[in-house]
Amino acid sequence: MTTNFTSDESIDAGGAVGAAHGDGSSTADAKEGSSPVAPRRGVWHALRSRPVSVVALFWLCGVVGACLIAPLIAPFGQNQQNLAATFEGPSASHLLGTDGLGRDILSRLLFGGRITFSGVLLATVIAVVLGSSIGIVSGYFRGVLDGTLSSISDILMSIPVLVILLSIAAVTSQNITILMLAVGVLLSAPVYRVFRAATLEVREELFVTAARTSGLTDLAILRRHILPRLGSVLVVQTAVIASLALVTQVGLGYLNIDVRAPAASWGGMVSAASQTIYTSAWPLVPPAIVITLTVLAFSLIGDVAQQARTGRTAGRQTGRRAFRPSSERSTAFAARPSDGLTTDRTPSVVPTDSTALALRDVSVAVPTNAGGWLTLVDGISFEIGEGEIVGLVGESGAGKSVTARAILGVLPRHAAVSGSVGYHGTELLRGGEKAYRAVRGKKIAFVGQDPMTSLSPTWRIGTVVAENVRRQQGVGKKEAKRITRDLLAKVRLPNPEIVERLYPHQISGGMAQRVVIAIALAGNPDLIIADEPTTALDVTVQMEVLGLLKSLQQERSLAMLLVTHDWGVVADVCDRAVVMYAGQVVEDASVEQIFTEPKHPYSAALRSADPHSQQVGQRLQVIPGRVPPPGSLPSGCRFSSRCVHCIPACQSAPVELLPNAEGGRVRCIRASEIGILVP
Amino acid sequence: MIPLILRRVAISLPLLVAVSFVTFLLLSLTPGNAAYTILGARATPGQLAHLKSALGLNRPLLVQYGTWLGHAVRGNLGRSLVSGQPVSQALAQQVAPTLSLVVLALLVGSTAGIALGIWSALHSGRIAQFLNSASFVGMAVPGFVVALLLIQIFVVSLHVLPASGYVSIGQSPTLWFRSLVLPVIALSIGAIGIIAKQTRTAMQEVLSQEFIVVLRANGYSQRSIVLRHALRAASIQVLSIIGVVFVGLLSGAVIIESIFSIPGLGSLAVQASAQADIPLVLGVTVSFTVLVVATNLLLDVVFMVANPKIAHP
Repeated sequence: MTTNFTSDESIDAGGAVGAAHGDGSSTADAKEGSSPVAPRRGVWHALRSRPVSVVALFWLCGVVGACLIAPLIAPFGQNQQNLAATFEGPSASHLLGTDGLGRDILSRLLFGGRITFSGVLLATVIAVVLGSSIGIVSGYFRGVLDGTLSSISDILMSIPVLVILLSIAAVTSQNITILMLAVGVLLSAPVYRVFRAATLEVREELFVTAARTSGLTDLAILRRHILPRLGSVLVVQTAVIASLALVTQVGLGYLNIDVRAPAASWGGMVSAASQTIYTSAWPLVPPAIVITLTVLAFSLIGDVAQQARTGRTAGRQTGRRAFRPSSERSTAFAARPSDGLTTDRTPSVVPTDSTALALRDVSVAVPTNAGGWLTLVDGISFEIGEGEIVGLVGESGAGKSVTARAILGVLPRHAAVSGSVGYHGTELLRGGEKAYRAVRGKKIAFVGQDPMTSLSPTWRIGTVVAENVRRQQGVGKKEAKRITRDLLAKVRLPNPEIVERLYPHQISGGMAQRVVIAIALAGNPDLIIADEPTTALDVTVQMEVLGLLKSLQQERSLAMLLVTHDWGVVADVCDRAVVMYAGQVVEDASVEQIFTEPKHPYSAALRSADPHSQQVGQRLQVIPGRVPPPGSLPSGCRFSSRCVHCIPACQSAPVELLPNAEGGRVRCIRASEIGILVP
Repeated sequence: MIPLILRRVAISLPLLVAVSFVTFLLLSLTPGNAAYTILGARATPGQLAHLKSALGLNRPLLVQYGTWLGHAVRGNLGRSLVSGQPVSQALAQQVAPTLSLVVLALLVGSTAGIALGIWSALHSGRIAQFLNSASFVGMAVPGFVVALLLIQIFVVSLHVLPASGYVSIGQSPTLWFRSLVLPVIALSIGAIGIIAKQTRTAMQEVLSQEFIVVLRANGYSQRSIVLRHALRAASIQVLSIIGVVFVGLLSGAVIIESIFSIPGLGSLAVQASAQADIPLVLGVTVSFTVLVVATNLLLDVVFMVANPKIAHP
C-alpha cells in the first residue's frame, strides 16, 4: 500500500498550502480569490464545457423533443398491432423491432415517453418549488418553525416512497397524476434539507451579517444576497430529483399502475417485455437502454453541477505526474543556482554521522490547475547537530510548516519533494517509504501545531498512546499500558490513570499537546520536529509546554527543530535560528548572532516587528507590504520590494545563500556593506 | 448508553404514529373506501350505508383512527377485506422473505460499498477512476434493469440460477441462498454505489485532517491509520447514509419481489393496493415503517459506539 493519503482531485495552489496546514495567510489568500458569485456562473460553465454533461444534455433534449413530437414522427400508432410480425429485431420498417403483439417498439417508446416525462416534470417541479422555498424560509428565519419543518422532513424521508404510493394507488384508482404529485411532495423533503443547509451556510457569512447589521430588510437580504447564491444548488437538486422521479415513475409503470393497457409507458414496456423474456429478450433492450441512459444523463448533470458548485474538477490525477526539473517550474526560479553550486559554497551543510539531520536543496512543489507546478519551498538547506535546538522562523506563508512536514515525508501526496534529507547520514527522501518507516516514531518524532485536531477523535487517549508504545518498543499489552502511564506522567499530566480513559474532545488544548508529546516520546526518538507546538495555546499554557519540551530535550539530549514565528521562543529555547522568507532560507545564524547583529534585512525587520521588543510609547513596528505568494515572486531578491536597503542590483538576479565570516549563512548581496543594528 | 437508546426509542414512536395516521387519513378521505371495496360497483346506496355504519366508517375520523391504533398496539390489525384473513397473520407469513432480501442486500451493500470506498479513497490510478465511474453508474441504473439483465444472463442463457420463487431458510438453506442470489445483487447494486461514494468522500476528508499527519509522522502503521483511526472517524458520516439507503432498499424490494415472484411484504403491498384492500394496505405500510424504525435504532447504537462524543460528552 502506498502512504499517500489525499484525494485524487487536483488542488489549486491555495488548497495545497492549506492542505499542508502551514500558514494561515496563504489559505486566506486562496479564499479571497474566489468571489461569492463565481460558483453560480461556474455551474453553467462546467455543464457547457465538460464533454460528459454536454452529451447528457444533448441526449435529454433529443429524447424529450422526440417524445413531444411523437404524433408527428412516430412511424406507427402506439397500439397498432401486427400479429404476423411479433418479436422482430430492428429492420427498415421497424427501426427498433416489434414486441410480442407485433407493435412497433420505437413508436411505443416515443408515445410512452410523453407519459413518463410529464410525470417526471410534475414531480420535479413540485419537489423543487416546495422543498426550496420552505427550505430557504426555514434556514433563514430558524426558530420553532425550522424545528417543526425539519422533523416533518425527517419523517417524510424515513417512509419508503413506493409503499406510500401503493397506498395512494389503492384509493385513487391508480391515477398517475395524483401519484406523481405525491412523489413530488415526498421528494421535497431531501430538497428541503439541502436548501435549508445551504441557506444556513450563506446566512452565517460575513457579508450577510454585515447587510443585516446595516439595516437591510430580511426580504432584501434574501433577494439580493441569499437567492443568487442558491442558483447552483437549484441546478443540482433539479437534476437529482428528476433522476429519482424518473426511476420512481418507471417503477410504478413496471407495477402497471401508471397507464391503463394497452397505452404505452416506459415502465409498462419493460414489464410486458419481461413476461416474454424466454421467447425473446429483444423487446426489453430498447426501453431498458433508453431508461438507463436518461437516468444516467440526469445524474451526470447533477454530478457535474455539484462538482462545479463545490469547486472541484473531478478525477484529474495531477499527483501522479513526475516532479519536473526546476527549469520547467515557475519561471521565477529558472535562474536558481544549480544544486552543485549551492552545496559547494555551503560547507556547513555536509551530513556527517554527528549531524542529526541535514537538509540539502529540499524543494516542494504542488501541481496547479493550469498544469504547471507551483514551488512552495525552494532549495532549503540546513542541518541540525546532535542535541541541538534549531528554530525555523518566518512569517506566515514562508514555507516553514511545509519544510517541517517534508522532512518526515508526510505532505499530501500531490506534493512533489526533491532534494535530500539525511538522518545521521541515511538518506530518507530517496529511500522512500521504506527508509521513513525505519525512522518515523523511532528516531524522529513529530508534534503538530493544533493539539485539538492532532489526536485521533474516536479512541481513548491511553489506547492511542499505547498503540505507538507497542509498535515502537515491541512490548506486550500490559507492559505498554504501564509505559503509557509513565509517559503521561512524564509529560506532567495530572492523574494519568484518569486521562488515559478520556477522549480527545474531553481535554483542553494544553493537555492534548502533552498527549501528543507523549505519543512522540513513545519510540524514544532522538530528534523531534515540533511544528509551532504552542501557537494554538493560551499564553500561560504556552510557557508550560515550552518548558516541558525544553526539559525533555535536556534530559534525553534530544535534537529539535522548532518551527515558530515567536522570537521569544527562539530566544528562550533555541541554539540556532534559520530564518525563512517566501520559501527560501534567508539567514542561518546562532541565536546570539541573530539577536545582536542580524545580517539579513528581513531578519532585522522581523526582529523589530516582534511585539516583545517594542518600546513603550512608540508606534508598533511592522514590515510594510506582505509576503509575495508562491507563483508571483520577483525575479531578484524576494524581499526586495519590502526592503529599506534595496538597490537596483537587488532586483536584477536571484540572490544566493552564502556563508559569512561569523559562521552563518545569509542571502543578501549587501550583507557585508550595510550594518544592521537592532534597537 | 442505555438511557440514550431509550430516548431514541421514544423519539421514533411518533414516526410510527405519524405514518400510520397519514396513511389512515389518505385511505379514508378517498371515494373508494372499504364498504365500496367489499360490495363492489353494483351495490345500492342503501347497502353501502348499512355496511358503512356496521364497519364504523360513519364515526369521526379521529375516533376511527383511535380504535384502529388501540387494536393495533395489541397486535390486531383487522382482517383483509378480500380474503378475510387476519392482517397480522398475512404479514407474519410474508415478512421472512422481505427481511431476508433487504437485510442481505444491506449487508452486501454496506460491506462492498465501504470496501470500495476505502480503496478508492487511497488510490488514484486508472482502476480507481474506473471503479468510481462504475459505482456512479451502479447508483443511477434502476434496480429492475439490473434484475432483468441478471435474469437474461444467469437464468435464460446460463441456466445456473432459478428465475423466480423463494425457498424458506428452514426448508433448505442452499435453495434459500440460491433463490436470493440474483434479487440481492439486483437490489444492492445501487446501495453499493451510494455507500462507496459516501465512504470515499468521508475517508478523503478524514485522511486530510491533522491527526492523520501526526499519526503518520510518529510511525503508526498504515493499516492501523486507515482501518482503525480514519475509518472509525469516517464511519459517522457513512452510517447516516446507510439509514437513507435502507429506506430506498425497501422501495426497491417492492419491485424486486415482483420481478422474482418472491412472496414478501412488497408483493403483498402490490396485491393489496390493486385490490384496494384497505386494512391490508395499512398493515403493510405500518410494518415497513417498523422496519425503518428498527433499522434506524440499530444504526443509532452503532453510531453511538463509533462516535464517543455522544456517549462521553
